[in-house]
This record gives sequence, structure tokens and C-alpha cells, in this order.
Amino acid sequence: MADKQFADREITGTPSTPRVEKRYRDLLNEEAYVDSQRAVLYTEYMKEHWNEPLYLRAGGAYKYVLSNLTPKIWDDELIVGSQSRYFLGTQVYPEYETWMLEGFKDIKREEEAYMEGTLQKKEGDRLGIYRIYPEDSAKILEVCGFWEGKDWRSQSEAVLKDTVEDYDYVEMMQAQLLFLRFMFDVPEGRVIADYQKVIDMGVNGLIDVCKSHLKEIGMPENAAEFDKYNFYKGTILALEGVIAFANNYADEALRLADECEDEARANELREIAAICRKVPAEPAETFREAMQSWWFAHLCIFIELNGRGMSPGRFDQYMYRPYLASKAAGDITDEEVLEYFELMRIKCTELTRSHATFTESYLGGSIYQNLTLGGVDRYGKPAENELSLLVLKASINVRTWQPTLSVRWRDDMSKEFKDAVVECIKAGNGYPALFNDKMGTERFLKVTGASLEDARDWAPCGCVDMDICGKRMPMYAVNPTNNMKILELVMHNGVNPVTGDLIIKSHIDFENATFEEILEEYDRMLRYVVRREEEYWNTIMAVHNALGLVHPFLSALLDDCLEKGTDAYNGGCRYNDAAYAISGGYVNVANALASIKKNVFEDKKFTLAELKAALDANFEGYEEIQKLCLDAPKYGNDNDYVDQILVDLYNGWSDATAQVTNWVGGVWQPSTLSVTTQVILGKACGASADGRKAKESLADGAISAFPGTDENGPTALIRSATKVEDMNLQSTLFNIKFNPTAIEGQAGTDKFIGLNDAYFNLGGYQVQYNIVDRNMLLDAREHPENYSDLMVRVAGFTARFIDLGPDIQQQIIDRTEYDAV
Amino acid sequence: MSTAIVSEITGFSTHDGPGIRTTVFLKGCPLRCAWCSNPETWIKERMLFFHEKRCTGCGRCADACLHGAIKPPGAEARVDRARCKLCFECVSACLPRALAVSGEEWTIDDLFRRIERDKPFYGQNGGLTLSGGEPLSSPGFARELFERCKRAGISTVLDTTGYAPEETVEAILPFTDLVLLDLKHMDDAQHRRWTGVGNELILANAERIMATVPTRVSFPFVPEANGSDENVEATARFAAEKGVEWVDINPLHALGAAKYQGLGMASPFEDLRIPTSDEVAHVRDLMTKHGLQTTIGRMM
Repeated sequence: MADKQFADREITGTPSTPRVEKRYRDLLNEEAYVDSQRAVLYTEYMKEHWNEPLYLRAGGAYKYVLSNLTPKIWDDELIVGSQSRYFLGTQVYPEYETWMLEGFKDIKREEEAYMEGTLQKKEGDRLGIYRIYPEDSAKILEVCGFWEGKDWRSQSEAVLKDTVEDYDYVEMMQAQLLFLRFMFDVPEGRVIADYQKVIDMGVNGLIDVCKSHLKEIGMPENAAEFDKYNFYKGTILALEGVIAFANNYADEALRLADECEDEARANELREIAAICRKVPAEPAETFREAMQSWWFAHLCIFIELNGRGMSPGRFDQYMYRPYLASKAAGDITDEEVLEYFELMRIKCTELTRSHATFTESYLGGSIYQNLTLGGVDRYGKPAENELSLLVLKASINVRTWQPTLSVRWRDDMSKEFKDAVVECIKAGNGYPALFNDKMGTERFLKVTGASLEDARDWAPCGCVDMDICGKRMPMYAVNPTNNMKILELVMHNGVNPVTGDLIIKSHIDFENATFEEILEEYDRMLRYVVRREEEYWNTIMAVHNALGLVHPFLSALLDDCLEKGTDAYNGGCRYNDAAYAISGGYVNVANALASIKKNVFEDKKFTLAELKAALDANFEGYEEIQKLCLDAPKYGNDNDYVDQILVDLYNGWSDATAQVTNWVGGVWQPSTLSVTTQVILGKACGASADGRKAKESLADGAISAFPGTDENGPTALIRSATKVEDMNLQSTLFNIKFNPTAIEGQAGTDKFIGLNDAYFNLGGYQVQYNIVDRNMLLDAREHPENYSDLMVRVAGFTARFIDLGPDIQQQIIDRTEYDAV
Repeated sequence: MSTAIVSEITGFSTHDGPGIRTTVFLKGCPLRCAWCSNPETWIKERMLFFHEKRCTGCGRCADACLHGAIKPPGAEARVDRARCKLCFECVSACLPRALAVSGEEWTIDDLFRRIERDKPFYGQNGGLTLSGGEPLSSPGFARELFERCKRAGISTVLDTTGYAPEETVEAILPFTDLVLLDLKHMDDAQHRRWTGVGNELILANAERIMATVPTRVSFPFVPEANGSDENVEATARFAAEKGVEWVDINPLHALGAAKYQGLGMASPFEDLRIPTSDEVAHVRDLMTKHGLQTTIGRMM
């Protein structure tokens, strides 16, 4: 006690079997590699089939890729299937953007392979950095040569240049980080497929559905019928590809079994072969079959989409039937299920995706698979079950960064489940994040107009954005808007003070404006910027769809694509309001506006001109003004003066994003997740009226306080946060950090449960905790070698602390830690 | 209107009574326990606090000080407490908030509103804990605050040394749901040696409190001061005889050292030994032997 530097985590776990332990060690120790195989296969197919209808071609290309990817089964695995020949391998998608041409061009030897152009180079870090073999880089460069100028990005830019009069000017808005660059390199994902279809119907069942539609169409006699004909033909090809992929694994398992000297493992491999021969083609009858069927579906979606955030969704629901069947038949024990779930965590963490450096600089290494537990069933009854508890247990035992966990919190959840959720949070891995069960349902009823049954089947997807499982179009986002930069423009009559460029013509003379005029001008500029971003993206998505960058397998797993004969990107889904814009830095904007209101207009401590001079000088020589700015009311202290400004800003954001209709007729949605963009957005900004110095990071999350400014404890912070009308937003993001001692023991668990019940009853949407002693984080920064498994919650995702860049590490350390000692 | 000087308000306080509580620390205490971790609560008056680590050495405080009480950076004791007139001009001048005022005056209306604001968090058994300092050093304020809370359906916990006039204790008990009562030493002379006051009044009040309101004993375990088996057992016997069920053992910690430094006071912790976990377990076992239930650290 006397010499302890920090409080230990109360709950710890270890892999439940030697098999899992071995897989876990491999995961922590192996290097990640970029694989050329998928890009080469896809390009070969496209060169051969350039004259085919787009959807048929998309299905055929996918089938060709899946049929020819080298199957790899790693030592002692029970769930098999890898996207790459390399363990932790990643594939690239040059048809979207040929960023690899720049990124890979200088690679000659493997030792040089810590390449520019993909994940950030970070001294001493391993995960998040890809290596590449010279033969792979040569092949990728070759196929990129084919795609150069034909890729989605080039074609989109050609259209925009041709049609947007002020194209250069919009480019400048991106370059100056008024909003972050459009993401062409890894744009897709953020979708929850209907895995239950694969598990319960089998892929052959889906093929039968397509065939019956084809029979109905018969001979296509017009363009619409021909489109549908190609849709179903392409879908069948894609589904056949998934079956071929599984069959290749059956063959590989048999080959390995014949070579294997260990008879026990040989028998396992033969059983794996039998399972792969059966699923996902046929319905899964046992738990083991269902796990393998689910994994093939999840993996094949990951290979199909160039994206991240493809989320397992409500895993404890769709796995429950096969679990009960196997339990009743006596062919599996809960210990064996636990081992499968631990291995599932490792398989999910194997999935990696590389992308251009710029994207990496703000997205972190995560691929955002979000697995959801609890909630209610279609009839509104509490839905947590034995599997929910086993997933939590597996996630304590195997501390991987994928998948992250979410729980749909209800105050009438069973005490057993609440205790298990808190136990998992106390393990200090940053998951599960908690979501307001009722609010998600209400939002889909009110905003999306979903049926009650569909609305109840929601889950967070990717980071924190809510989605309807298996029925909503894949989410697309324009990247975060720099809301602080917009305030800077208002204050400088439309000029970016960092560069001196006129960005938006001002309607007011700032130095002589009233506070109301400032707010109005802010809103006007915001609406202008957001409208431009969304309109741009609509055009870009039109190009995306016209080029046939569509996904037949995914579409087959999203209602009502098969019924309508239309794919998920062209309006086939039942709900199509999944395009969204993301805000960034609003908490600082609210604090800055509160400071202006108080210091300039109420207390008249200084004038707007003086404030502007102070900000332009980064407060140097204007220390009195900075002091007054710092002392002004700050969000996070249950102070209506500033909190109401934030509420109004978010409502304005919600209105601004809804100006534009998306490319399939839904309304653009307001989202607020920050990922880790607060760092890069802050770097682009000068000093601000909340007392923040130039280039400093903005507040993280959407409703987290700026580090160090919440001085009245978690209840006041929660009171501030729940003033924001979350119902208007597709997501919010709220971080709280606790010292482990604040909630120790069962009594601490009970208090912590009470805190969450209160937060959600007050109308909170989402909250996530880091239960890690600040001193432990400081120690981990000094001695990363001792903390290879220290996980923290970053934004909507969990990451290894030692993999994070120094800015993000600092920000996590700086978040106010609530300590009840 | 009734006012009090508050040193701190802690929401989601988890170690000061059952459920989720909001703990209000009132300034002012007649005791001077040698192990006190809240020296800012000894006197009712506001105090000047200096966070040395935050100081950037800009010297603006020295310029602002009208009494020559602040020395330039590098000087050993930066704030000359003898000269300081507590005008807090330096606090207004300090940019990095290295200088701060410790203590804030609250009216009873505002404080009650602040407590009521946390009501959604209190649940079944949470509520207000009044601590200090010695909250009964502000007798009228404490009683009125409790009365208001009770009327509003908010549970009340009194965290007290028990050192207050009999009538003060009598007056607040009808509005008190639970008392967390310190028993620092059972021997009058030793009590006086370590806390500055004898224990006669405390033990008399303890009997009165324990007979009237559910009470838990807090035992601040300081090996040199009160850690003898004899004293621990005497404490346990006293509590058990009066029908107390729980003793919360609070082993000495030195987390308050920075506060002494910030207030320009000598830290007592260099002379006191932090108990080992074995010693804490031993004290717990002695308490248990007398039929008492225990916590280490007062999480309940």
C-alpha cells in the first residue's frame, strides 16, 4: 500500500485456454503486411470483362477474387478465414484511389517497407504500421498504373472541375481544413448486415430467392427489366463466390489435416473442413457452424467493401438460436462457447485496412467493428441472454482492440447483466460503451419513420452512429467540419487568419457587430459550408454508383434490396437516410462564444477589436485578455450560460445538415463524432476566445468537456451533457475517466450503475469510460514495453494506448479524472 | 440569509455514505488532528492556495500584490503568509491559475439548489453528506440545510468528529439519516495529544448519537497515534456496546501533503508512518472479533 504509485485495475482476465493464449500472443507480436492479391485479381477481371453490365461485372469480379484468394488457416484456429495470405494482411482497392502510387513508389527492399503513404510512421510502434514485400509493391504499382486516371477519385474530380465554377475555391476550403479532405481512399463501411439471413437461410437460400425473381422477370423486355435481370445475375455470382471461398477453406483444411502429425489437430481440421463444406452455403444447425457461417459472412463483406466500420451488430441475438440448439443437443458447453468468443475477438482484430497517410492522421488505426449486446427484441422485451454475458467475459479475457463492444442500456436490464457490464468496464479496456436503448428506438421512429419493430432492432455502428440492423443503407460521411475555423472566419470578416485567404464573403463588420449578429453570421457561414460539402458528396456518390462500385453480397444482406431488385447504394434499402455530416470542435466554439458574450457584451472588459488583436497575437502581450477568456464560463459545469449556447449550436448543426437531400432521396443527417480529428482541426486554428492557444487540440468527443475545464465533478458534467438535444443528432460522443478506486467493489459497482441509470434517464445518448489511473497512463507512456495490452477508449473506438500518437495520448491523460478518494 | 464557507462540493461522491452522494465540505474545525488531509478546512476564513507546479514564473502576481507578500520565482517560500492580507489580487492576476482562493461563500439557498440539482443521481439511498472540517462548527447552517433536504426527500449523512456542544448535536439529529462518527482515540490524554482536544465531549455525544440515529464509526488508522491493539479493541468495544454494526477503517494516506505545501504549511506526513496492508488487516480482524462489520476506505 505504502509504495503503490497507482490503483490497479480491479478486474483482470486471461485467455481461457492455451489455444487462445497462443493465438493472442501471435496477434500481439506479428507484423502487418500489405497484400497485392486482391488488387491484382480484381484488375485482371475488370480488364477481361470491361464490356459487361456494371452489376453483373461487380458480382463476377467479386466471385473471381473470392475464388482465387489463397486460403490460409493459422495454427490451432477453430474459426477459419483470412482476407490475406499474410497474418494481419491488408488488401488495397486501387479502383477507388491510386494513393499507393505515391505511397509505395520508393520501396525496393522489405526493410524499407515502413512506407510513407499508409499508416503513420511512429518510432517504436508496431501495430498501425504495415510492411510490404517488394513483389507486392511492384504488383500494386503495376495495377495502379492501369487505374490511374480511371479511379473513382479522378473521375469524380473531373466531373466537379467540369461543373463547379469555383472548384479551386472549394479545394482551398479543404486544403485549409475548413473541412477535412473527402475520403476516397477508404470511404465505405459503417453498415450492419443481416447476418441472420446467412446463418438461418444459408447463401443457397438467398440464391434461390434471386432465381425465383429471375423466373418472374423472364425475358427482359425493357431497360428496367434488364437492370433487374443483371442485379439478380450479379448477386448470384457474388453469392457463389462466397460459397467458393468457403470451399477453398474446406480443401485447405483437408490438405493440412493430411499433413498434420498431431492426430487431435488433424481431427479438428477435418471437422473444420466439414463445416466449411456446409456453411455458409446451407443453414447453420449447430453453434460451431453458426460461428463459422457468421465469420465467412463478416469476412466476405470486409473483402467486398473498401471501408471500415462494418459492424457485427446484435451478435448476442442472431447467435442465440444456434446456441440454444447446440446446448439442447448437448454438443457444446459454455466453456467451449467462451473459447469461440475469445477466438472471435482475435479474428476480428486480424482484419486490417491500410489507407493514405492523411486519412490515417485522423482516423487512427481502428477499423471500428462494433458489436452490440442487450437491448430489446422486436416485441420490446429485454433481450440480454447467456451469450451477452459470455461475450463480456471473453472481452475481459482477451483484450484485443477489435471488436469494440456496445451495450444498449435500460434501467430495467437484469442486475446480473448490469453487474457483468460494469465488470467489463472495470477491466479498463475502454469497452463496452453504453447507449440509451429507448432513445435509439425513438429516434428511428421519429426521424427515419421506421416501423416500431425495425426501430427496436437498432445498434451503434462504426464508432457511435446509430443504425438499423440489416435494413439501412451503408453510411457515408463527409468528413468533419471545422466548426472552430468557421468562428475564426466570422471574426475575421471571412478571412482565414492563419493563411490570409478570403474564404467566405462576410455579411457583417465583426468589430462593430452585436452578439446576435455574430451568431447569425456563424449560422449563415456554417450553412453555406455544410451545403457545399454535402452537394459535393452527392456528386461524388453519383460517380461512385455510375462506375459500378457497388456491392452485391452486402446488398443481398440488406432489406429490401432483393425484393426491389435494386442495390444498397441506389435506394434498395428500406431506410435510406444514412448519409451524414460530422461536426468538430463545437465545445470550444460554445466556450468561445460564452467568453465573447460575457467579456465583450456584458462586462465590457474588452472590445471585439481588442479580442481579435489578442487572438491574432496568440495572446502574447495580451495576457489579461487571455485570463478573462479562461475565466469565462465553460461547458461541463452545469452552467446554463454556456451550456445553452452549445445546445443552440448543435440544433443549428442539425438544421444546417438537413438542407440537402442525399443521392438516394434521404435527408442528410447530423453526426458529431470526433474520432481523433480534434487534434488536426485544432492544429489548423489560431488562438480562440475560450483562452485556448493557437494550434492546440480542440475538445474530444461531441459533448465531453475541454480537458481541465470541468471543475464540478461528473454529476455537473452529465447535467451539462444531457442538455444537448441528442434526439436531433445521429450520434454524440461523451468521454468520462474514473480512477479505479472511485467505483471499487460491489458497492462501487452499484453506485456506478446508479450513475448510468441517472445519465440515461436524464436523456443521455452515449457514454464511454476509461477506468485507468492517470499515473498508470503516465507510466505506460514512459515504459510502453510493459503495457502491450493496455487498452483505452479514444473516441468511438478502443485502441492500444501505446499505439496512439503523442497528441492523443496526452489528451487522454488530460481528461479530468474523477476520483472519489 | 444564512451563509457558510465551503471548501469543496463533490458530486458522485462514493466513499461518504450509501448510494451516490454529493458531499459538501464546510470550513472550520476545532480539532487539529496530526494526520489531517484537509488542512484547508481548519479555519473558516478563505485561504490563498499556491499550486507551485502550475506557476510559469511570470511575476504578475508579485506586481499585483499590494503588500509585498509575494517573492519572485526562485525564492524559497513564494508567498509570505505573514504579510499576506488575503486580498487575492494575485489570484486575479495569475494566468495559469497557480494561485487560487481556497473556500467560497455560499448562501443556503444556492447550496440547497446545488444539492437538489444532483437529485436524479441519488437513487434509493443516496443524497447529501455534510463533511468538513467539522460541519457542526456552523450549527445553524448545517441544521437548516439538513431540514431543507429532508423536506425535499433527500437523504442526509453527517460526517462529524462529534466535537460540538450537546444542544447543537440534539438540534440536527432529527434531520439526520446516518452519522459517520470519527472515534480517533479512546484515551482522553492521547486524544488531546494527537487532535488538540480531549475526547470526553465526543464520547458523550457519541452515546447520544448512537442511541438516536443509525451510526457508523470511522476509525482513522494511524499506527503511531491510535494503532495499538489496546486502543483498537477499546474502540471496537465501545462501538459494539452501543449497537453500532459497521466500522469504516480509513488507513492513513499522505495524499493531503500537496495541500499543506499549497497553503504554505508544514506537512505532517514525514513523521507519520503509512500502515502496511498487513497492519490494516490486523486492525480489521480485531474489529471483526468484536462482531463489527468493516470496510477499508469507507466504500459502502
